[in-house]
Amino acid sequence: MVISYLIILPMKISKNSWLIIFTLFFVSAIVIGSIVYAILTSYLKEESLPLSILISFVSIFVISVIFVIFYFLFTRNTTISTDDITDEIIRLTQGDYTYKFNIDSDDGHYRIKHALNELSDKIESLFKHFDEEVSKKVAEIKSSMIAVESQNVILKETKMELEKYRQAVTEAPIHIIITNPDGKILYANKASTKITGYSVSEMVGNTSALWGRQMPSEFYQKLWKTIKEDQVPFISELTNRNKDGRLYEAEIRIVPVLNPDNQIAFYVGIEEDITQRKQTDRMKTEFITLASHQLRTPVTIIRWLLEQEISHIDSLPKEDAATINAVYEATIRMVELIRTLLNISRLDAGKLIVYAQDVSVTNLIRDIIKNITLRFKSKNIEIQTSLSDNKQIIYTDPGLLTQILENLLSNAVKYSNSGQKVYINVSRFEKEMEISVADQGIGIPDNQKDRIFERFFRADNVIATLEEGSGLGLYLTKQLVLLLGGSIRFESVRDKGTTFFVKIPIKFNGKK
Amino acid sequence: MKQILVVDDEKYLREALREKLEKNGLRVVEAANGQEAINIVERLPIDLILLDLLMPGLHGTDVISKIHEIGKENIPIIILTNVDTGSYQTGVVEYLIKSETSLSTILFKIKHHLGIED
Repeated sequence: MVISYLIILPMKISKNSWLIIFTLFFVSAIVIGSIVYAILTSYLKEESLPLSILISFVSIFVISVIFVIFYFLFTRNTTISTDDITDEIIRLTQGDYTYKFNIDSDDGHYRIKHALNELSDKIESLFKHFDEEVSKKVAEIKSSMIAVESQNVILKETKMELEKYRQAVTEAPIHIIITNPDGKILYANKASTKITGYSVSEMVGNTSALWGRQMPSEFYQKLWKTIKEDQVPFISELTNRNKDGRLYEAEIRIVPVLNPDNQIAFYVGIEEDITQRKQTDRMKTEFITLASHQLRTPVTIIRWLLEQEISHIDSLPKEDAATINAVYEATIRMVELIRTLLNISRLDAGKLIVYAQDVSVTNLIRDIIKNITLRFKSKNIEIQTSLSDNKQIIYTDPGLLTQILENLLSNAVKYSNSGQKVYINVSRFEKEMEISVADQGIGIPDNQKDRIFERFFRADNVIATLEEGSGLGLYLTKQLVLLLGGSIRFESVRDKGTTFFVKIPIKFNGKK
Repeated sequence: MKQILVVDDEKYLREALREKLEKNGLRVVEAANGQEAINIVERLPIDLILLDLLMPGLHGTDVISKIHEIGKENIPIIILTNVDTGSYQTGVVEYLIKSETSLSTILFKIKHHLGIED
């Protein structure tokens, strides 16, 4: 019994197996009791049988009591606590690493529990560390996801913006191409196909020589020098040939676009078909030329014939003389009007060209005075000048300067009263010549002074005094002064007179 | 006496010029077109030419070139025309718009370029 007990003891024993063990012990107690009874009956007499039975039962009882004591002893210290550890370990394996074993000093599993506690501590701290790492990473991922999201929004907006520009360029009703720094076409918009006649796919990858190459090679050399070496826009008119072989006149503008290193990133080329416009311009110029000749010739005949009559006017009857003078004045007005109209149309067309040369301002003014005196013979106005023998040579356009001064002088005479004087004064400065024309006439009303150089403007007092006049004289005068690179201003007091000051550069600068 | 060649296709203008210049001591030869003008320059001694530009046949600028070709580039030329388009060519001493110039001014200019004192 003791041996079997010792065998069973170290084994892992469940609660149910105790029932078998108990039964086993009970049977062995009966067997031992029976053996004790048998031995006792062989030594004792028949009549002492009840005593033998009693002793057997007592021994069975004693053994059973011993067993019960053993049972409680073992289940308390070993068997029951083993079951508890199992449950606790299960808690551990199920992931409750915060659980700690309750350690009792008289506990038989003190060391196991202690080791398990240490293990769970390690695992717990490991998990804690792991948790921290994971939440750190999660936070990082989260913030980078937010950044990516906001970048996505910006990208989307940028894409929309780019798309807007792309569409604008594609649909723009003007020829636009983009080339690489070597002139190879990277992009061509819709309108470019209209002018050149080539499709976008035919143009991209090619150069503009596809529809160009009609100009002398110096032209293209200058073009490349401008946009490649000087890195500035090139603007010019040229002739191109479209896909059908038709030559057309175009205005091109090529703009170099630089990257941050000041290297050429790409070129933007804009081309406009100006064939129609050029034709209109030519017709306009032809008309101006024709009109000028056709109108001027008969006026010249009248003028010169009248001048011949005037040369012996003293021999004519007074009435005839007055008539001839009146006709002559009207003729000169016509001459002036033709000149003004032609110049304004040339100015508008950008065709008024300055032909600068050395001019003697002194001689020029003397000629003008002669003309004006002849023209306003009937009006008794004296023209005085401060001119000396100095020729006052300047480099400018004599024709345009004559028109400027004739306009001012004829105005001065026109708006003076009989018997008054007109003064012309010339002062030379370092870089410019100032010519002033002063009268004692009707003056310019204060409230109209700022409008005096406007086209078609005529001051109230002028309209009241003189019916004739186009309102173009001072407008043209100012434009001509500006064309020569000069400036014009005036001082005027009502009914006291007006002085105009014209400043003309001593050397005309053609680039102006 | 100085001899002036007046080249203009307009008869009245030539006559007005002739009268004005002859009255003031100058001799006048007339030409109605460019070719005539060249022929005269080849034949006669001319001191100054008053030249129109827009004429039937040869244009005034071509007349100047031809005059240069026959070696008469020393003759001073005053352009007297109603088209104001051209700049100065060699030999041209004055460029005048007919309608805007009085006969007196023309006479004054001629005398000036011939070096005749008033």
